[in-house]
Amino acid sequence: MDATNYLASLTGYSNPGRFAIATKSVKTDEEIDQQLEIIFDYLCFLDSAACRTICDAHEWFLNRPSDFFENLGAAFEETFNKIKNCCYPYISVPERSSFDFLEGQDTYSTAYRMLLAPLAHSITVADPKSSSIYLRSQIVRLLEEGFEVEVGLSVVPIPLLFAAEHVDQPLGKLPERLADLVQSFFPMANIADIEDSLVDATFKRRNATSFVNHEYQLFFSRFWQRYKEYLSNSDPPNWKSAKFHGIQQLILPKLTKLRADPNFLSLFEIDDLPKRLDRTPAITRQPMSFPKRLAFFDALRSDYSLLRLHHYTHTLPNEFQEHILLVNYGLYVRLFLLRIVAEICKNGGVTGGTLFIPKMGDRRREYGYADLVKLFGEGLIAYIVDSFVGTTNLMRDPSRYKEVQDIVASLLQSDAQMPSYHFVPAEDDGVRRRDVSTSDQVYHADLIENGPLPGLTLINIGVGASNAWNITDHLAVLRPLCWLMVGHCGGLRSRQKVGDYVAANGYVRKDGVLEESVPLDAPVQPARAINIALQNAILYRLRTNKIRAPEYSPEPLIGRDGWQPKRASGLTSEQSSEIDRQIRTQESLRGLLRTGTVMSVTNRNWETAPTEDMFQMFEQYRVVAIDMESAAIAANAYRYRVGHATFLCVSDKPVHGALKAARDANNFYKTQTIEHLNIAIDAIKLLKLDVSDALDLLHARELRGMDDPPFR
Amino acid sequence: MIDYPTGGESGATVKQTFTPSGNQIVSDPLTISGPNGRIIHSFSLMDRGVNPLDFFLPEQNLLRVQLGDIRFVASFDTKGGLRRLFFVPEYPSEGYRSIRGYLTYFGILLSRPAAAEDSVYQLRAWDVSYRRLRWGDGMNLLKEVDLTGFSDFQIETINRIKALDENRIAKRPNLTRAAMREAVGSATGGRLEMKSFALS
Repeated sequence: MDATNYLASLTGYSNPGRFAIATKSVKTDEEIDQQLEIIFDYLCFLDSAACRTICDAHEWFLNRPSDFFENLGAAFEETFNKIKNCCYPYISVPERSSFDFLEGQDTYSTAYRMLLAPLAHSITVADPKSSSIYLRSQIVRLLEEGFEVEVGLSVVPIPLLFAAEHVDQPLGKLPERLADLVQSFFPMANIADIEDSLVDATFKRRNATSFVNHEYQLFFSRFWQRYKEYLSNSDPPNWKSAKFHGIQQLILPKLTKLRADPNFLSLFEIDDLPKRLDRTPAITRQPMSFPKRLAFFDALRSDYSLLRLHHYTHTLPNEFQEHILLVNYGLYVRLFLLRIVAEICKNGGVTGGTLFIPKMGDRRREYGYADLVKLFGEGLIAYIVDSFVGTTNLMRDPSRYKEVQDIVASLLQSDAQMPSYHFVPAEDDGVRRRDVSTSDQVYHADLIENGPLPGLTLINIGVGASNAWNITDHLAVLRPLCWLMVGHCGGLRSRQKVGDYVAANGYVRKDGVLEESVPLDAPVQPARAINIALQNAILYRLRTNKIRAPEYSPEPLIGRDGWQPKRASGLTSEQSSEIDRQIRTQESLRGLLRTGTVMSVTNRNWETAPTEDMFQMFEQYRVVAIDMESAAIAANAYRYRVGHATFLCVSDKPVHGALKAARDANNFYKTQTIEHLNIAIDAIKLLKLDVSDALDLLHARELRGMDDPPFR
Repeated sequence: MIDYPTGGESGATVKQTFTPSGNQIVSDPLTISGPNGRIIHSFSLMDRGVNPLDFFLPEQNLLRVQLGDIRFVASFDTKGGLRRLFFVPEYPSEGYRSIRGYLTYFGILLSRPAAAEDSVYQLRAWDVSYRRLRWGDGMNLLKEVDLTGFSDFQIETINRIKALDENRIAKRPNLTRAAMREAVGSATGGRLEMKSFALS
């Protein structure tokens, strides 16, 4: 039996459309905005109503007297009735006629053209509140393109653990006699349902066994056994008499309230239970087409990852920001915190924003401007701001530097496996207006110096490819805009110095991970926009003398091979000195930043192994730097269609005898390390605030595949 | 007439000339060769150094309010409180949906004293945190704004908005959408910014 018939036999309709509301097509932008607000609000409401009901039922179940469990059949029936409809909400775009497709294929933008195909597109949604920006941006796009969007309660039950996580309700310690019963009375997460087949292109649309998320196979529990029967009972009279118990009492008042607003009826069609069910039998007689997915991650896969993210980073999903820095040095964490302090406190705290440090115990630790002044004292705040915003160095006053470091150390979160730190901006700002006559230099300097820092998350992922692989698997469901790996590497070229920077433009994946999902010959490349932003950030720092340019050769640069503008076109002396200055800046950039292939290995101590093979590979692949995590992050970003880049600092030169050692870190290296993170953060600023860079990142065509779902 | 801060006067290569009369409608984009091969296609009168409120006849501006070419845009915090209120004198309200992902438009910040000199921001059309308001809602929000510390430019803009609102209430046009659109021409106001080509 294929998936189509299977689902039809189960539900009678691909989207049972319970408590569904569907948009009408409207004309004006205000109406679209109203629709968006109502849809999103309703989505959140359905989710929380289902989760609350299931948690209440669980509590009710635990508080039953012991004779309740003597007759298990009756006890189960009562519990099941309470929770059978506690399902994830879904978003669906109803199918269109093929005539629409022919009419519209010239006018629709690429990603949305596929929605015109005569197939319904739908996806279940987990915890919509936590990914509100992503979801809203995708839904509004659908509405603006003129599609009808339907939101309702799906038939995928929310596992008890995930439901408790959504409403942030502890489940309590189970009495021993009940532990097994809960497993069979309540829906539990089935790992067979949690899969990445769409991302990995192993998903076969007409094969029932691979589309497991919509299959409710027996999970050796009473719940799933009964639930299958319940769904397959597609007789309309039974549907009508189906008792919705708890969740109905929550949702129906909401729908009644919505309906009372006359404005609502002009924007939405409301399909409550009786109306929809009258239509259901008619639909089942049609040959059904199975819905395609609207997004990469469905509710179960998302929830699974959100739970794991909380486990690893102690951070709730809505606290992650769109831009993510991945580091594996404690030093970078401290520098990040200091930079955030400087950003919040510059100009007397006008720009606002909070530093957010998650912690397991008291859960939230937020530091606004006032808290930071209280923590550091005004003198130290001025010192930090001056060090990061001004041109001075953080290490200029050793005693103060130590004082600052001590206070920062108290902020460090230690109990999470992969500690994460977040900057939450006070307001998501518009781009500072770019006058068309301003040059890139002036514009970038203005953005970096005066622009507000965008929301930023830093995660200390620890050493090794498996760590990197693990955390990026879970970060992907948040659909972030970029992952930037900021780390250290071994420099392999003789011209590189310790403290130089490396930006990857290709990877050699010798780390042995993700080989099945991303073939080794897949062209994994970093996002062009991020590399350009990094380059611009370095140029800014060079121009303002915040990083030391490498030594020049004393003879004039003009006239060297390839650079002969002066002789060729007879420029004035002013013009030629300007060109000379530009060439010197470019030379400094080339000296500081090497762009090339980065090789990632699993064996950090490859120096101890026979090195001939390594040398051969270095030559074959033109490797510039060697590290452990970059390629895994890049491969996973490629896999999940996330913009990514690698920005490394050379910490040792193994081939040239400078092995890694703590004692060896000289002052130049320390300064370069501070600047390293600063450059990365400046680049993120440019990526958010410079319209062109933001667009390049947002519309990175190289990320998307041929048959990707419409949602980003 | 207020001194409208624009970027169009100097440095840019203006490929198209136009006559700023009340009935002249800008339909072709202004193509500006930016530095580093950056190309900006602007449909905005502000990029041509013109105040849109002056460019159109007062009667046309009333129609533009009805059409949504002049409007308020706001962002709200999670509890529903006002974060920022922008006045958009030329909103690209029609024909831009397919390029929405590449589009920006200009908004004048009115919810707080100007941080930058001119308080004109380039808002991203793809950013869902900005909500397009109905005119009445925008006016209600504007009434609650405390004006202390505002720049002359902001105060002047607010005065003109109030005048426009009074005028609108007095002479509420009773026309079909199509007729109004015909009277003011296609909506102006977007800016498409892109790099022509780059290798890395």
